[in-house]
Amino acid sequence: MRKLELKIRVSVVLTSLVLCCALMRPTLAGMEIVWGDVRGLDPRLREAIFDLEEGDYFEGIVRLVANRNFIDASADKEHVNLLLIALYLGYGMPDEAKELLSEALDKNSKLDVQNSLWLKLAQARYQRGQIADAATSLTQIRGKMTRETEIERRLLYAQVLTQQKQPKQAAEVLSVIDLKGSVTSTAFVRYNLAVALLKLNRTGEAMEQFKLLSEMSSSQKDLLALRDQALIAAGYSLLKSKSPAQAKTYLELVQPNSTFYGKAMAGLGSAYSNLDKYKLSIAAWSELSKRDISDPAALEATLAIPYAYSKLQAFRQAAEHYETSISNLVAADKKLDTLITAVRSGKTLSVILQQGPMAHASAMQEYRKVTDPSDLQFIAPLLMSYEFQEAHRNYQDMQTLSKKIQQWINALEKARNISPSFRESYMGRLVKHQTEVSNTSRDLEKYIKRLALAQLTAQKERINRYVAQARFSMAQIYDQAARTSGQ
Amino acid sequence: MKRNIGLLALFLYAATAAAELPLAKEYQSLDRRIQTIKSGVLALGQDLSMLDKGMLSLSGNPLVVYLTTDIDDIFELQAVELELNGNLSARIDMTPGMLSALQRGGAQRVIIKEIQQGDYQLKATIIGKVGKGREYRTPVTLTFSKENRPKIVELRVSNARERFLPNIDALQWD
Repeated sequence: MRKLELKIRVSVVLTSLVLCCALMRPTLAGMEIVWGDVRGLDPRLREAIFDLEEGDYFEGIVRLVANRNFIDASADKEHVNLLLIALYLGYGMPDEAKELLSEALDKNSKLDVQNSLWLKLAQARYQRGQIADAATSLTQIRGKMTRETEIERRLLYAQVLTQQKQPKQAAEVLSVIDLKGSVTSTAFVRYNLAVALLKLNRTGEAMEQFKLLSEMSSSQKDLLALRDQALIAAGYSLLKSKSPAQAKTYLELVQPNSTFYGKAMAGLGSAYSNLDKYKLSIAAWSELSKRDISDPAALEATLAIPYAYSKLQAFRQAAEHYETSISNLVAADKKLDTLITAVRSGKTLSVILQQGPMAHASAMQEYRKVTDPSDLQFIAPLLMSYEFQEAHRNYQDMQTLSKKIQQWINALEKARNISPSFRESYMGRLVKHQTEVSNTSRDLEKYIKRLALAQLTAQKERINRYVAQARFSMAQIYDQAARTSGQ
Repeated sequence: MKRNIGLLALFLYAATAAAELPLAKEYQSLDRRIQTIKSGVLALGQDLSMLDKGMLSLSGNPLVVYLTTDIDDIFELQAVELELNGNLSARIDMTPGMLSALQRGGAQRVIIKEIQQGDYQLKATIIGKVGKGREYRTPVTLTFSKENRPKIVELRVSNARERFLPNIDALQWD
C-alpha cells in the first residue's frame, strides 16, 4: 500500500514538472525583421514586403522573382534576395532559404537583416526537429545585434543545447545575458535561466531567479502567466527537494483565474500531504477535482484524494473515491476506443483537416459546433501540438497549390496568342505537379491520422495503467478493512 | 461524467509527446518532398502568373499601379478609387491588415491591367478620415504614354504636415 501511495504521489509531482519546466520564449519579441527606410525603393520590391506582411508568401515569391530582372539598382538587388529568403521561410521552404542565405548575399550587407533571417532559419530547423541544423544556423549570426534579437538568439540556442543534452552549456549561454534593468524586461531570460539551472541541480541559484519573478508586478498577460509558471516551477522544485512548507508559500500565490491554478492546487495538496496535513490536502485536491475547466491536474486530484483518505484511516471514503476514479477511467477508455475507431474510419480526420489547429479560443468554439465536447477534450492535445499545426499548414498549402494549378490549367486552355507547343509543354508540367500535390496531400492525411492515433493510443495506455494502479490500491484497502474487522 | 472524461483526456497530454517521436523522421521526409513540390510549382508560377490575372495573352507588358504610404496619425485611409480614361477601374477598401502592411513599408498592387500602347489618363482618389473623423478625399491625375513594355506607377500617400492633411502623388517607375 505504501509503495502504491508513493507512486501516485510521485507521479503528481513528476508530471507537472515535465509540464512546467520547458524553456519559454516571449511571443514575437525580437523576431520582426526591420527593413529600415524603404521609401524611395522600387514599388515592385516593396510589394514583397506587403506580401510578407499579409502572409501571401506564394504570390510574393512569384511576383518578386518575376520582377527582379526589372529592378535595377544594385542596392535593391540585395533587398530582393533578403526579401526572397524571408518569403521562402514564411512559405515553409527553409532549404531554399538556406541556399540563398549561404551563397547569394554580400556578407556585410544589411547584417542586421541577415542575422534576423539566420535566426528565423534556426527556428524553422528547430521546429522541424533538425537540431544540429538549427545549431549551425545560429553560428552564422555575426556582429552586434539588437538586445531583443540577441536575447532571442540565446533563448533558442539554450533550447538547442538542452535538446542536445548539454544543460550546463545552456545555462552558460543564458547566464551571459545582461540582466540589468527591471525584472519585467528580463523576465523570460530569468525564467529560462532558472529552468536551465534546475536541470543542473543548481537549485539555490534557480530559486533566486524564481523569487524575483514571483515578486514581479505587471499588467501584461504574458508576464502574469510567466510569473504563475515561475511560482509553479519553484513550488514543484521545492516539493521535489522535500521542502513542502516553502513550496506552499510559492504555490499559494498563483492567481485563481490562472491556467496554472490547477497545478498550483495539485502541488498545494501534495505540500500539505508531505506536512501530514491530510484534511487540507483533501480540501485542495477536492477543489481541483470540481473545477469545471480543461485542467489536466484534475485527474491527478481524483487519484490523490483517496490516498489522503487512506492516510486518515478513512478507508470507506478512500474506497469510494477509488471506485469513482475507476469508473471515470473506464468510461474514458471506452470513449477513446470509439474515437480511435472514428479516426481510423476517416470520419474524425475529415473534421480535423477541415477545422485545423486549435491555436486560440475562437478555434475551440468552432470545434464545439462540429464535435462532441467529450471527443474534443481527447483530441485537443493533438490539435494544439506543434506537429499537427505544422502538418496541417503544409496540408493547406497543398490544397491551395492544387487550386492554383487547376486555375492555371483552366486559364491555359482558354489562353490566346500562345503556341500549341507552349500550351502542351506547360499543360504536361501542370498535370504532373497536380498529381504530385494530390499524392502528397494523401500522404499528409495518412501522417496526421497516424499522429492522431499515436496520441490517442498513448492516452489509452496511460489510462489503463491508472486503472490498474487504482484497482490494486482499492484491493489493498478492502484487504486491510477485512483484516481490521477480523481483528 | 462527461466533464470527468474530458479532464482525464487533457491530463494525459503531457505523456503523449514521446509517442510522436517515431513519426518525426517520417514528417521530415514528407516536409522535404513538400518543399520540392513548392519549388517546382513556384518555378511554373513565374511563367504562368499573367494567366492568373485573367490576362489571356502573355505579352508581359501590363500597367501595374502600386499604393504606398508613410502616413501615420493624421489620416485614416479607408479606400482608394482608380479611374482610367474616365472609367472606374478599381476600388480598394482598406483592411487593418493592409494598412499595417503598408505602414511597414509595403507596396500594395492595386491594378494590373493589360492595355494597348497609347496615351492614358489615370485618376486616383484616396478616401479616409482626418482629425476627429471628418471625411476627406483628394485626387491625383497622371497622364502617361503606354509603350511596348510594362508601365509601373506608384501612388504615394504622404503627410503634408504644413496643412495637416494627407497628400497623394503619382510617380512613374519605368
